[in-house]
Amino acid sequence: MRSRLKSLVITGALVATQSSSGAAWAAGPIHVIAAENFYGDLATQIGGKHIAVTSILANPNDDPHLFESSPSTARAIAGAQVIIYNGVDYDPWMDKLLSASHSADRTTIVAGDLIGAKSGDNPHLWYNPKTLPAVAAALAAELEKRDPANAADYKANLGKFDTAFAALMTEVDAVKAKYAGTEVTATEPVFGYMATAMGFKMLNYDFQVAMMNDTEPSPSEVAGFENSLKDGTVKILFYNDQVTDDTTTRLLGLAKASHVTVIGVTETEPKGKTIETWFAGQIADVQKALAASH
Amino acid sequence: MSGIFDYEFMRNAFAAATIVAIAAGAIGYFLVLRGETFAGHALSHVGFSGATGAVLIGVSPLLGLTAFTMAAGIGISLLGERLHRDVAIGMVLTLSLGFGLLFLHFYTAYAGMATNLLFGNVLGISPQTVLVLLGMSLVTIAALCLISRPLLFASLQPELAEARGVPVAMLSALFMVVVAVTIAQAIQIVGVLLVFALMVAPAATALKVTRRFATGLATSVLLALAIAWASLVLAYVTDWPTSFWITTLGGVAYGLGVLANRVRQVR
Repeated sequence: MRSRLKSLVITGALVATQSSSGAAWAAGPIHVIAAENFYGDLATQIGGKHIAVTSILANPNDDPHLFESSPSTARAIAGAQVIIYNGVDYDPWMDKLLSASHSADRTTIVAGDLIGAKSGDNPHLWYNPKTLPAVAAALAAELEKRDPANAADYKANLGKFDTAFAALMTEVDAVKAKYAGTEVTATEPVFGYMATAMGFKMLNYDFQVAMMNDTEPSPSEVAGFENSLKDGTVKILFYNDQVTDDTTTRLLGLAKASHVTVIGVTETEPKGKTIETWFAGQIADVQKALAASH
Repeated sequence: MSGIFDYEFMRNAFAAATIVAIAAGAIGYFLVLRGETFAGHALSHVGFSGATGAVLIGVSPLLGLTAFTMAAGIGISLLGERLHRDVAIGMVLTLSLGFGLLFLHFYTAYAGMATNLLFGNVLGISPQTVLVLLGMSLVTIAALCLISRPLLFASLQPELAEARGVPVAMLSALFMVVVAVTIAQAIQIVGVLLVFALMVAPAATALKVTRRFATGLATSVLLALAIAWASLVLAYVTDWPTSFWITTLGGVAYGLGVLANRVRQVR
């Protein structure tokens, strides 16, 4: 809670990205709602001008963990044909909003279900290399079914995304080939799946979960975390750029004093970036940090 | 304004708000009359711990919340016999918040399910939840009807009631259970942090406006209903959170009540 209460009250801003440039389509654009803006970006990349995408959590300065939905969000969901959300308890408000408005003509794409993640897993699934391609494929299939006339476009867009994403993963594999086994840590488990994909050994997971849930980490967790920074075990400290409070600031200071590279990662897609540039930037940060420390 | 009832989520929200407002207005009236508003505030926070505990063992948060607030309600009335009442409430509150923290500590997954309860989500009420709220509401109002006469007597003249053989302690415990169940419902609408607004504001305003029991009770219920409905409409129009409007309208109503009371005293 603490610092997050403020953002919670303010949150509820709904950012709409209308992809169709006012052109009237025979049946109108397919309305797609994405709970988080990176799924919204993905939808825009796949659907192009044939769909209208609305992302609910879009402001990278808001902590998306707490969210009180506004009537406009509920209205948008009531009128949408395709809903994309993360699942695994990351966005339980979406389940609630869906249960409050039934619709026969609505498809939900739940990222967690697609990759077989279950409640209790690290919820930041979009950093798992399997997730975004799986969502993209599911969405493309759904759009092809709803709008067969433009099926070729959806297929082409899916191909384009898959190629770009595969290029990113080549970089990830390159990091893994060179630095597998490097010990790293984080203030929150945001980047966890990507760190695993890079072959890193992520330390202090329990500490990160406590930070994520705003509970008090136990003394041994704090001690373990601080020691891993002080004794130079870890090479990188990842922190959640969107949640900075006193504890995080103190830990960042400690990391700097111990000459551990800190890398800020974000939970949602920063403004002005695409999935590709966002991920590429973070991967480049990691490569730079490791090249300097080895 | 057109189309506010076209949306299923708005219809569910109105149904739930109506059910909860009636219960909260009626039970809140006794709560304020008995000077136990702090207990109401504390019980709602206790509910948060119950919900986290429920999520931890994998049962519905609403169930854990109700069970925990009921246990705390009984605890408060039992302890309150011997200790000073405020101390008893504070003890139970901090004790249960401590447990809530412990539950979150053991909860190694993402706790969004529990934190979601802090502010409620009236726009995410399913038809099933409306039915659950209706059932809970009927039980609490029926219980209140059964105990209302002796409870009123025990609230206004506790010594006399005790001398006449009214089971004051038992009534107090029963009432706390009724309050606990009402709070568990109200949390669905306004969340843990703002239950006070829905349960206390209309009742306190009613007590400022009239001293007559029946009129006061009716005013409290009607005010709670008016606030809940107006808040949903205002939230729909402004796109601001419903909870904000409920607290604001509650505050405004109480302010006007105080003002009316002053004016009457001057005259």
